[in-house]
Amino acid sequence: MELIPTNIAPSYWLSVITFLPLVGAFVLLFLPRSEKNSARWVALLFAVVTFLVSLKLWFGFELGTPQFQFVEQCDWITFGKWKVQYFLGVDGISLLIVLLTTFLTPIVVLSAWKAVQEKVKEYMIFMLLLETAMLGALVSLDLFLFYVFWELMLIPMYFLIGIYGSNPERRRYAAIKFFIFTMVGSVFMLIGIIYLGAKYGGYTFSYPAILDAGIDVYPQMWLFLAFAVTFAIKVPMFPFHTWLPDAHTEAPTGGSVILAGILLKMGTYGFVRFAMPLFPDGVRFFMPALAVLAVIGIIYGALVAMVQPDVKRLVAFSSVSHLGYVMLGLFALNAMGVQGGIFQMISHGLSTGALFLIVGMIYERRHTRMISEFGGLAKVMPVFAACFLIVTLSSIGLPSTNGFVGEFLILIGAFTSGTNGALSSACGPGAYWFAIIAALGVIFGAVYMLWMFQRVMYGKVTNPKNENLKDLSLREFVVLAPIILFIFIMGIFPTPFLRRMEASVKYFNNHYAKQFTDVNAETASTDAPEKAKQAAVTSEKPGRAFARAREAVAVKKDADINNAPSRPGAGPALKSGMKKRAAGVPRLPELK
Amino acid sequence: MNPSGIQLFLKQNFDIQTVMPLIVVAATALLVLLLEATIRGKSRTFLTAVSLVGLGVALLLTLFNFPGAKQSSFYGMVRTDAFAQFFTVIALAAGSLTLLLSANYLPKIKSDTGEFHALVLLAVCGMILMAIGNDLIVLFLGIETMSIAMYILCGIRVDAEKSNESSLKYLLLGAFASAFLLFGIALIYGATGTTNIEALINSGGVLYGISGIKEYQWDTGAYQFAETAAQYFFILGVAFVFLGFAFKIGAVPFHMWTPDVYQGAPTSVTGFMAVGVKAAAFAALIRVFLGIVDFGDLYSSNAIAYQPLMDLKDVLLGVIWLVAVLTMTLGNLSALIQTNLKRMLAFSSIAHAGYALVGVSVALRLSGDDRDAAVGAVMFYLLAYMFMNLGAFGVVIMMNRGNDEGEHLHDYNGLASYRPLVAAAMAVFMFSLAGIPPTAGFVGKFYIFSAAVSAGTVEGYGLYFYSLAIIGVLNSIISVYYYLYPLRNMYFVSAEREHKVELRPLMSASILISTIFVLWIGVMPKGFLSRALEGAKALFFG
Amino acid sequence: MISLESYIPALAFLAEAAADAVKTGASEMNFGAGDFFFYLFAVIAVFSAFMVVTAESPISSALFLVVTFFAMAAIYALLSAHFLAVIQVLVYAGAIMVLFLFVIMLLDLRKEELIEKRHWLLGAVGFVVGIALVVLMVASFRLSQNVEVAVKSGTDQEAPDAAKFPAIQESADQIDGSRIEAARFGTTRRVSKHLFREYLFPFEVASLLLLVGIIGVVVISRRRRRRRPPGEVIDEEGAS
Repeated sequence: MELIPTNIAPSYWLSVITFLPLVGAFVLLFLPRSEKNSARWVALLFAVVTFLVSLKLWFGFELGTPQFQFVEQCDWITFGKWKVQYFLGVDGISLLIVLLTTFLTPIVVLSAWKAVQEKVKEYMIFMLLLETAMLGALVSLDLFLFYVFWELMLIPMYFLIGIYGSNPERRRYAAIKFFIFTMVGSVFMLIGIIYLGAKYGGYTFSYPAILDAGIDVYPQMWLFLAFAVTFAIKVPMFPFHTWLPDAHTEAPTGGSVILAGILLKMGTYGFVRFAMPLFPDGVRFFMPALAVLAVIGIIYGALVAMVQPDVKRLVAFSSVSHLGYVMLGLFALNAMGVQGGIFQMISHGLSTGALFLIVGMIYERRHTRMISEFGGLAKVMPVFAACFLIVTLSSIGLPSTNGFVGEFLILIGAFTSGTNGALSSACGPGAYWFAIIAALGVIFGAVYMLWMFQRVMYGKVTNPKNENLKDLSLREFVVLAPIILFIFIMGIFPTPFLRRMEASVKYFNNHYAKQFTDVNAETASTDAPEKAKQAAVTSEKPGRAFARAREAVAVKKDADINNAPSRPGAGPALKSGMKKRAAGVPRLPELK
Repeated sequence: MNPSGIQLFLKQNFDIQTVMPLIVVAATALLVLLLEATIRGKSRTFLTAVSLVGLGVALLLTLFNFPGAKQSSFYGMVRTDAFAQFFTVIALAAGSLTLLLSANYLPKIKSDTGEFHALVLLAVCGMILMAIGNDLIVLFLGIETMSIAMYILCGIRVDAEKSNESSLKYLLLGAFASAFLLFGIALIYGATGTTNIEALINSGGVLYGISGIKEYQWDTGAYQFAETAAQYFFILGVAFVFLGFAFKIGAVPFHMWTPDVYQGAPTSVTGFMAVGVKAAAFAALIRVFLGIVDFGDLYSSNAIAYQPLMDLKDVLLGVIWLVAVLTMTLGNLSALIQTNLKRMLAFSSIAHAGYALVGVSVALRLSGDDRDAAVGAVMFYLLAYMFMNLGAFGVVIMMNRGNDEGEHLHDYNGLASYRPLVAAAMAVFMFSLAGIPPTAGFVGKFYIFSAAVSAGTVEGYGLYFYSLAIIGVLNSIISVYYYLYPLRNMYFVSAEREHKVELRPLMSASILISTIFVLWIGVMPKGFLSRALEGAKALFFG
Repeated sequence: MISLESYIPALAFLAEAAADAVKTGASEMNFGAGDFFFYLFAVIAVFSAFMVVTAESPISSALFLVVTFFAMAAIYALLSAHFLAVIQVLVYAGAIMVLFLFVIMLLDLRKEELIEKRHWLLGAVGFVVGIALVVLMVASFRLSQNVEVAVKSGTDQEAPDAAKFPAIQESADQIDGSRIEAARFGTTRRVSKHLFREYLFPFEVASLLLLVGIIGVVVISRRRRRRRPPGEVIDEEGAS
């Protein structure tokens, strides 16, 4: 099956959704600086309209097909052989994150109503610009276009942290650190993208084309490394996480919400969209290392969060821990794990976003975020306490909240994969320990979140400054209410969400199946053999997607290679590569 | 129409149309001098207007009435192809923007004279000559015309010691480089018997001097043409010519003059030097060296046994590889520690020359479409670099308050709060210089690096070209750090005191034009890229 | 007034020597007269160029530069570039050197230094000028009718009438056409032909270059006038 439908009906939905915020930013540019309120309203208007338009994607999305939908494709830049396309589309993997983005942006705009009093216009411009960049990166199917949006995300975020951060000295440091860290990774991805385009994409950067090209085993290693480092910095995975607490602590509330809610998901999205499907051999080779890092991230993030005196820093480290789950789920490479991973991306976006909003609300009232400054707030602010509790429980993963669904799926997926699946195939038997250790993280998560909640909300009101705090205003309630609503909807009725990603996840899992055929019974399920048969018969598209067909061809060729060593055009490296493929499992030296 | 013999002869060899833009600019320079003498005491804005009209007419002529397609004239001395057209446009645009920037700046530094305009116009003439020159002699004359004008422009500030020092330093070192260049040209002439690049190729790669380089044969007692010696003469000539060009583009290790001269010169001149001189020098460099490499190829294809000239391509690749790496790295590392913005931009311009050299090294090694892509990438990069760098210098000029004030990084503190548009423009330029999308700088760098990477995949020179690309992107990261620094000061630091920043119309116009182009080229580079590619394709001889 | 003609004898001699060199090169001789003169003038040129840099007094530097220019002119003549040799002497050794000397005199140099060097300096100058004179003398002695004709044929006519000029006829019999070609190579006629045909464009462009130089001088000198108080300017004029 083609990932891109052959006859594309002209559709402009994705362009409209992506660039509507940009139009808003442009409109804001011409507002006078003193018109703070109208700047807020204009921004809100554009954010809400964008969200409403994006609902079209939810309702118009066709279930049961891994194909990209709402595809837009035209030439953008041509330069000699090089061709860059303006190529957009959503599938089950990106759809939910796109919706999360359009959903969170109006909330963020609303949350900044009172918190941002200076340079309001600029704040709103940066927010809308950021939304455009994020949406663009999510819907791009051309690697060049993706990179453009990916880098574009840095600019507004840099300013948001640097201008609106809390501590004047530290915010500059945090902004530059954020920028440089992200940049370091992404330039290597740029080289990788160019290499892919030149060698495998026929001088285009089209994602489906490169996906079908079949990248050689050896380049896959360094290409995967280049992409993985980029995305791992963004996620952030364990050794690359140091920018995150700084950025989060210093960013304004809205910036933190966007950062935790969506920007970090760009890293995981990058893994599931680009790094993993494009380089399955690379995934297999590096999986042990990455899985270990993911688990370390889970435990490390939780442990460090436990000892944080600052609520915001605590939530930041909890993000490190939660995204460790997402990564583990993605590396499970089975339907449950990957779906759980994507689901967890969304639910983490909602619950952590809400946590940052709540921290912001406290900060607005008291101008401190130290846990020791609080205590007994539940009595003073009952509505606030209720909201906070719900969000906390969602973050812990209590059943009937969204957090539970994601974490449960991930752990089950990782466990099955670890006993009899991709994880065990790549890391050896006993890989189910990853899931078991990760489950410990859930307990740690409950400990640090509940402990923090207890210290802040319960007990006596020790600090006299806390006695007269106001409860949530209507605006603040409006900010939190939709998130809380979705926490429950996703927790109780996860099926509509999971169904939307099901087909795409299955498709991509089959894509890896070849690398893990020896033990992976589950992923190569139901329809994969049929597809392979079909492909073998027609053999028009001997793409990577048709793993089994290819394997069959490789097995056939194996004899030829052995018998005829002087086959023209086949160098020794190519031959050995083909032999490896022909052997069925390209067993590469394991990294341990 | 059937032109008679004499008409055809005139058309081929004395076609004035081919050098019309040059003539217009030179005439404007003379007119400006006359006006300066006759309308003493009045505003110099009038002179700016006259100069701009002249440049504008030349620009229109270049864009819409250029002879085009591989036409050479004046006995092959000039060649007005799309390549020449592209660089002529860069020279004219750089000159126009410089004059716009200078209009309000010159009175501030008390050097508001008509000669300034005339010298800028004559420097543009030199650049045009370097763009259209098809003969080493014309190129040399172009380089000298441009350089001498630049020496004087550097020292045009009446009261500044630094300006004079900069001028003198530039003059002495520049004269030294010119001597090398001339010596190189003489050696090439001695070895090949021609200074014409087209003739060099059309000779079919035969290496005979006009009088020949002869050596005594002890066995026969006769003087014979010394094939090997001639080859070494040729290689030595190539080396000297490269040295001369390397000086003009400020490549390491011939970059020592750049920071002092750039810092000492009036800021608008610095901008002009950084973009105009560099672009013109690259134009000449590319034309000459592609010709030389082609000649070497032809020679090698004729040779029966091994000849030293066969190694020319590899040696050139190695040398330019090293020069490019050093230029990028040293430029960026030195820029990292600067506290004066102008000096920082000077070092960054060294680094940018390094990026362009990456493209040149690819172009010299490859052939066919890949070469076109590499040359086109360099051309496009220089165009993008012109707008972003002149824009950045424009902001520096705007901040200038006489003397050197307003150049230090802390002068930019809090600029965003009281001059948001200026700060925003500066941000665009800085992001573009750092190569962050969606700006012109990103597209430029992208195609340079993609030329390098695709050269790595096509040829057996993977190590050379991948390493170039990787060193290039590593340098981009370094550069991000120092380009973010002014942004940090403008946006994240509050101003201790607000500086008076005047938004004069001409200056603002030039910054606005630069901003628009930086974003336009960044988002919709298609048209610019295709023009660059056309130019690169026109470079093929025969 | 030095005119072009006054150099012609010497140059013609040198051209003859060059032609000899070609001839002797073709024959069995290894080290011909041409080679000898070439090495002689080359050594003089390099040595005096070295002295230009190392000499302590600017005046002696300048005068060594004159020597270099003369030696260069001689080498040009050896290469049959008569016109260039003349121009070299006229423009560089003549006009430009005068300018140099003027500039050096206008500069504020300590007199003791110059006096100290004068004696030795004069000797050197005398030596060089002496050599130059010797060259001229020898050349005028060797002036014979065929040289005159050769020059004439090179400058005035494409193909000299053999009957009118028997010497040419003779030489044409003796040597091949390439020698005549070599002798004509650097004549005024040839140079101007090239200059106004193939090299017309660079020739015209050179005027642009000169214009830039002139403007530069104006800019720099005008600044000097502006910067100094009026009294000083008068002093300067008085000093010169």
